[in-house]
Amino acid sequence: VFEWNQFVGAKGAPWMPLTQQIIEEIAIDVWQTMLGMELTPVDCRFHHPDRLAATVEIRGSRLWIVDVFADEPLRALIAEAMFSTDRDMLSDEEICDAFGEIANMIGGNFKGQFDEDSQLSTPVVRQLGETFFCHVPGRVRSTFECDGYQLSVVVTEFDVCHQTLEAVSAI
Amino acid sequence: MKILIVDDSKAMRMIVRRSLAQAGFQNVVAIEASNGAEALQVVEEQSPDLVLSDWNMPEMKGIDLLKSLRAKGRNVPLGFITSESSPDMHKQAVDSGAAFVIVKPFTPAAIELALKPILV
Repeated sequence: VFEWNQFVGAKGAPWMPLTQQIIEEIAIDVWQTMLGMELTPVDCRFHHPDRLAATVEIRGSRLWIVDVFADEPLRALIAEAMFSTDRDMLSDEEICDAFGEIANMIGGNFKGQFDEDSQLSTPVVRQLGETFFCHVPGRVRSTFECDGYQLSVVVTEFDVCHQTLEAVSAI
Repeated sequence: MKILIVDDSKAMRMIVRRSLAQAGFQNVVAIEASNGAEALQVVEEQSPDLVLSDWNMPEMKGIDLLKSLRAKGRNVPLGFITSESSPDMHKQAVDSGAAFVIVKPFTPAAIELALKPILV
């Protein structure tokens, strides 16, 4: 299990605590307003064994990638709340769709914090390789608990804006 | 009263439908499209009274849908329901003729506040 030091980073240190605070506020707002559920920030180990993330990228003068991690039971809870129906009535595609929309809302609101022209991608749900979980400077993690399950939001900042999501996913 | 909900997320279309009912718009017939291009076709075929559109979608974005409708002489009111909330985006929406912009996450009260002046 990976232990993640949230504030380690050779550069960009000033923005990192601020980013974590912003992400926490946005995620809690999304949870309460759209899902009617409580989300509590927790300080715990990053533990998402299936490594499935809903991802959006924000491309401006810099590139930000927002990855949202939630394990299967929590993804199902999200979809149940959004579709207002039971897990048995939902397809895997609908659960992915709801999960992606969570990343879209968090990423879109995060983008709104920056006073600069930038583009938000549509969300993708992807399984990340193990290399993702190595330390990368300029990466911030916020972890929460919802109904006993862990949710993590990871924001990674890159200096250059010409990289593709595929390229940086390998980092 | 017919409202076209345009969003590439089925989950979000469901939430908007539910929010319309919770906001008190009980006599609404909600129809759906999953992107701007599909919405253009639905507008032609079904002439909705209002379009509620996401901003960021594959195929055709919401702002391009709005511009295309106006270019065709279609003046159906269009409001955006979007997770994007930058001042630039808001200005672009209003300058292009959007009736309102609702930012996700939103409450039924926000839907009511935005739609009432148009639908009453």
